[in-house]
Amino acid sequence: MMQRPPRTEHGYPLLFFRLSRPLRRSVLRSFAFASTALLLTLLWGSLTNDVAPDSPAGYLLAIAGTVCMLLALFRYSIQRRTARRFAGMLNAALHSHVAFGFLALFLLFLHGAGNFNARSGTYALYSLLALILSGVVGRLLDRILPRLIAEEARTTLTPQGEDRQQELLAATSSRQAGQDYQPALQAPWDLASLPLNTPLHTDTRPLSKMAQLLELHTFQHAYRKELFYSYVIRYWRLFHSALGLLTLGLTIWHILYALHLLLLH
Amino acid sequence: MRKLLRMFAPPPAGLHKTVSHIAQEINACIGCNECLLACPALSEPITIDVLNHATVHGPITESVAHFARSCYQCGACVPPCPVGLHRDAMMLWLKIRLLQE
Repeated sequence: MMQRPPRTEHGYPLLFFRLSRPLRRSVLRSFAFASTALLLTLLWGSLTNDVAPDSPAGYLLAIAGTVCMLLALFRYSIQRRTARRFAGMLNAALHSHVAFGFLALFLLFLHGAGNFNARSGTYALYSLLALILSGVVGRLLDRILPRLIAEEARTTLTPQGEDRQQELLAATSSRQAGQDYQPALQAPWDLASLPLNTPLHTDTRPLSKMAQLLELHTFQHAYRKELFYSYVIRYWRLFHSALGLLTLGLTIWHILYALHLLLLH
Repeated sequence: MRKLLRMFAPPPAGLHKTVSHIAQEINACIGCNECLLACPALSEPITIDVLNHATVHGPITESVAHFARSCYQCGACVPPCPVGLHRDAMMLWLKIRLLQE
């Protein structure tokens, strides 16, 4: 029996989406967890009419939200640095990182229960919101920028995958060595003796040099853009990590403040 | 402290390499799979020989194409390589091939 050759994939859309198994799993789990927490809070609210941040339900939501936030902050970082058992494990950990982040925001929002007067808690919640937003933007950048990098890299390479700049420089140096040089046609004393289809200026050097310079300029521009995009990916990740540390600091401040109030009363 | 400072270090001069460089690197690959284990974008089980075969001139299968599109050039695959190869540059060439075809 003849073996069919594998189908060749092509195309690289700017915003592609594919629901992979780890993504589907983490979305379903976090949705189930969030809806359970919401139902329990509503049930508690209908029974006791007290869902304030300092009610038992509020404390439970605060603890669950903080645990989710800590898992989102540290679990993925630790897994990246420890031994990996199988390929795809880090992808699942990344999806859990995103899911725990969203869950933490949701649970802490429920913990706040519309009470945004306490200064330390509000700052911590806003910082968490900014952290989640920066993560979402980062994921979008992770989708868009690598494709733009590939486009710019394609500009800097020949269709065969060789360096276009090297080819241009080689062409320029051979031209400078006079290999392609054609002397200009000497104008005769009687212009009428020239056939009409004879070009008067056959020296193409200045024009082709200009074209080469333009190509070099395009190449350098593409190279700079490629670098810029890779800088954006790298430094956005640093910005996200710094926001994570800030959120952690503000949460610790809020917990200490809440403990201080609890111990005073 | 050194690790923290390394985070702020600028990225390498350019991500892309020529196809002849990439072919050389693929020939030097020992197939230890460390780069795939360190990759946070890989969601499907792909073996290193399938990826290496598809990278330069081989047919790009659906799972390899999906992996190439999901790769976000974070560079996590580079430090664990025991031979010092640049899998990120190889993935970039795969993306260029997807764009070209």
